Amino acid sequence: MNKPRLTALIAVAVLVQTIAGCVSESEPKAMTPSEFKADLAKSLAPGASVTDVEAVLTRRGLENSGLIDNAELAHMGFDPNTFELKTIIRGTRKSSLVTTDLAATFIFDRDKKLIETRVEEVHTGL
Amino acid sequence: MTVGSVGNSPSVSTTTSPSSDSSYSTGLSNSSSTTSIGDSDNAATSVLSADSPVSQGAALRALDGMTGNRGTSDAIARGEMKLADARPTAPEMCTVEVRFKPVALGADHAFIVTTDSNSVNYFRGGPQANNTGLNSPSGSGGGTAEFDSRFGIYGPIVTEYGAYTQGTVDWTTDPSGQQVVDRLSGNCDRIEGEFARHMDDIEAAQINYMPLNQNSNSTVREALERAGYPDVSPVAWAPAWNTQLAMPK
Repeated sequence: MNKPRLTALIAVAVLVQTIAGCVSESEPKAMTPSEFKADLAKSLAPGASVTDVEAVLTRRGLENSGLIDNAELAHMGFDPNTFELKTIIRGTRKSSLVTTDLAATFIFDRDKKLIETRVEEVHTGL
Repeated sequence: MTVGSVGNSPSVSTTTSPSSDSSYSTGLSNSSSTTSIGDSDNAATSVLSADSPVSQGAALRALDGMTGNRGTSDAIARGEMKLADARPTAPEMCTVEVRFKPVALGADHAFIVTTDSNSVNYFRGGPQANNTGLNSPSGSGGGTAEFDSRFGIYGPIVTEYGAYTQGTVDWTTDPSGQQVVDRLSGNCDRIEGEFARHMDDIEAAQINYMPLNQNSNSTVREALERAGYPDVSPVAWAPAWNTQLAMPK
């Protein structure tokens, strides 16, 4: 596809999305990272086990990575003294060219006790 | 670490491969080493289980046939080598791939996936923000990332890497495109360390994310080039793939 044609196509898509965005303001409000983090903290205090975390995520219907041993990722700079488990809420926001997910990472010590929960938006575009 | 199970299987098993990629699994199981491992394993087992000198001799000749010389069978016969030592192991391989996911308008988002017998990891780039105000939590013109006037509404390119599994951002069992860039001897640790460093460098360069000009696809191409793969041509429609990111080399 040549560039002018592609640009025109994108412009039309952005316009349509803008109109759709205005119309969809009455849609339910998406969760923010701080809201998601606070929500998780109600059920998962520091010291929680991997099983506790997985149970909470399963009850909410959220996919999870299973326990990842960061010692095996030390060559990429991960902290070898920790494990982590990830979950994600997909498509919390969408624009014409970028999709936003809400990603949570649960960090565990070597005894597999929860020491920290991080929540952040992750954006995917072209 | 060796690929697959050698001890109890007649051939290299791909079940230990954490990849869901069927083409990767097929590639391993079709390798020539697959057959030799299974057959020599059986031959070595026959040596141990043979109960007469004649059958032991036949089994040792079979082992010689598999290994191409008499060194191994002679050592076993002299009791100098254990069965486990006699079993050749498959060389470990690292597969470097680019995979794609559809994002918008039929165009795809590229990310790198590395696979060895022990793990599958990913490397990707994307925008730091999505401040278009469309369907945003506030519903009034802002996402949760603060707007930085040095960049556009998507902020700079940010990168991410780690274990590629369910619950991670680019996880899919149905990529819209997939291509093998290289198969390396040994595990993926070295190339993964390189990719991680290149991704860190790209993020540190604070490059403005522009959906059509410099984006996740440009990030992947840049990381591949820096790792020694400058001529990868994407199998999917990946806009801005060929953009040279303006950053220190």
